[in-house]
Amino acid sequence: MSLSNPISLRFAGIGGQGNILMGIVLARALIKEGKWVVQSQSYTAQVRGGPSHCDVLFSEEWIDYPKAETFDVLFALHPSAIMRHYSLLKKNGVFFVDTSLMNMESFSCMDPETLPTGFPIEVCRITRKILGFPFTKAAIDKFHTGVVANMMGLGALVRVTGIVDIETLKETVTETVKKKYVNMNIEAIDYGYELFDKEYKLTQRKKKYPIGFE
Amino acid sequence: MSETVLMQGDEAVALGAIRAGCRFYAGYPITPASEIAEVMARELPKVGGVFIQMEDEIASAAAIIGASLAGVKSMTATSGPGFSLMQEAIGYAIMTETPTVFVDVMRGGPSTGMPTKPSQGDIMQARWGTHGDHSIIALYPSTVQEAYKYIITAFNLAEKYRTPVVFLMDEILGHMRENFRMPSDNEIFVFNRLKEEQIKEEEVFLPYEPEEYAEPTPSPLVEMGKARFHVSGLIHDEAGFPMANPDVAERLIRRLVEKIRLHADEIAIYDEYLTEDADILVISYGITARSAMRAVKIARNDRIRAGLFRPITIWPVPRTRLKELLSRVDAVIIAEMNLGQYAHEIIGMIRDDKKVKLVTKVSGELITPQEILDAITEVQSGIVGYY
Repeated sequence: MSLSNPISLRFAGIGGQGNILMGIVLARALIKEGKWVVQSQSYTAQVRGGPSHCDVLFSEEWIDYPKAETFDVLFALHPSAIMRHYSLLKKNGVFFVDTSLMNMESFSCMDPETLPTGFPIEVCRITRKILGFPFTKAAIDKFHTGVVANMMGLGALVRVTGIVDIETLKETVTETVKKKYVNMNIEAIDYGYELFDKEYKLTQRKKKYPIGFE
Repeated sequence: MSETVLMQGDEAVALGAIRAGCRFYAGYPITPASEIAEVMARELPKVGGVFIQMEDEIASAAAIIGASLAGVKSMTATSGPGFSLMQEAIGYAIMTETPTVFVDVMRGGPSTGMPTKPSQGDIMQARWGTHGDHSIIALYPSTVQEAYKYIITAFNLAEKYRTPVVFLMDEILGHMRENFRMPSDNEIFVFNRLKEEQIKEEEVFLPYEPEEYAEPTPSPLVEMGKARFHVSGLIHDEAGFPMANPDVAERLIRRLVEKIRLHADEIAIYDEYLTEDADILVISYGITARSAMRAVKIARNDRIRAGLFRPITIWPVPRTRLKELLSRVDAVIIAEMNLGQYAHEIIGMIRDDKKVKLVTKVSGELITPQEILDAITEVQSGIVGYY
């Protein structure tokens, strides 16, 4: 018998950025594609501006344990979330970073000089699949509001990991958001979808539990 | 077959309650139960129900008792601190035999505790929170789908046994979202009150008549406006009028306890996983049962014969089945997010030669499968011996 662990994603940031909505939209899209999903969230009494995060777990089978200890994908929407959550990233996991508040255009683990201040070098020992982009800044430039940064992020996430079809995602957003904001959100997803041309597929690893010496 | 959607635990409870016929909700917002009030405020008016936000939990509990006596199924939802305030009213509902449902989405305690963190600390409060001798029914689901299913059961039990039913949940279950499929009408059963036309005009209606209501079950409450009877929290006779007679008191209190105790087997709902050949029995409920299930699966992979017993009716304890299992296994592990409240109840049923291990946690984090697995392996090495 082999037990499979669900694929886990964490969206972390500060309250008000929409990281919980990101998780809900993604979870709905995953259900549309026939997956078993558990979405949970954490926030503090400081609802706006306080640390908050949202976890999405999905699997082909029913998920018994609803929490994850490590994550296949970590999406940091705010610099403060990097320090708080990077150690939970699985080895070779995918790490998305919103670099809007980090004064850096691009950075690479190969050249530590390019890493922004406050970005822990330890991340480079966990994964090289780091994808940085100033989502919030781009959202303000293009849509005159930072609120769609999360949808841009989802677009990018779907492109890179391919966990759901982009059309399913758009359909879900259309059903979830208020009518008058639908177009803006869809445009933001399309914008995010074009950002990266990398492909990091996530695979649900079947964990083999060895029995004695057999 | 209806479509699978993403549904939150709190949302499922509110929608399930409406499906069960709940048409009155009085409550006071509290994390992590606020979402229940939110959904009720939005959905109840659509089906002709009433939502009211009261000044506090004491008034909320009193209001739902009033509504139930006036003829509609009613519910309130709260968390630990509010549940403490409701205890007096729960006692009143027990004494007056009023069907009501009290949802308690447990958070870290005592007092204000940890509003956004889960706990299972109200297990004993659900049983013995109110004063005086009494019986109670308490249910505790493990998944969002079950939350919907068993809130309907909670309403049915409340109506059938004419008693308040405590519906326990925890912060994780209340706030998490997962796959949910809306059951069709033939998958659910709703227990309804006696209709006006079912009561004969000339008959004397004695709501608290022991012969009529102790066996086989107490009869359901009537819909509003027909039978008149007196309601009192004082010791009362069959008609409901206060009477300080020792015989009446003795009979009444015993009947209130017995009406649930004698039907414990009928009420009992539980779930088992790989218990047929188990050497080690893990007992866990609610959200921790899901960690326990994972731990049992991993243990089975290592050819450790572990099994899981999950009581869904926390009170009354599914004693008959549990005793049967306890007599068969070598060791028992009890996992819960408190310091052994339910274990206290179960240990009394276990013979001295069995090994018992508790896995407890009050940090506001869910017990992990690893912690339960560690307990299983420790117990297992005690059974097979060290080499």
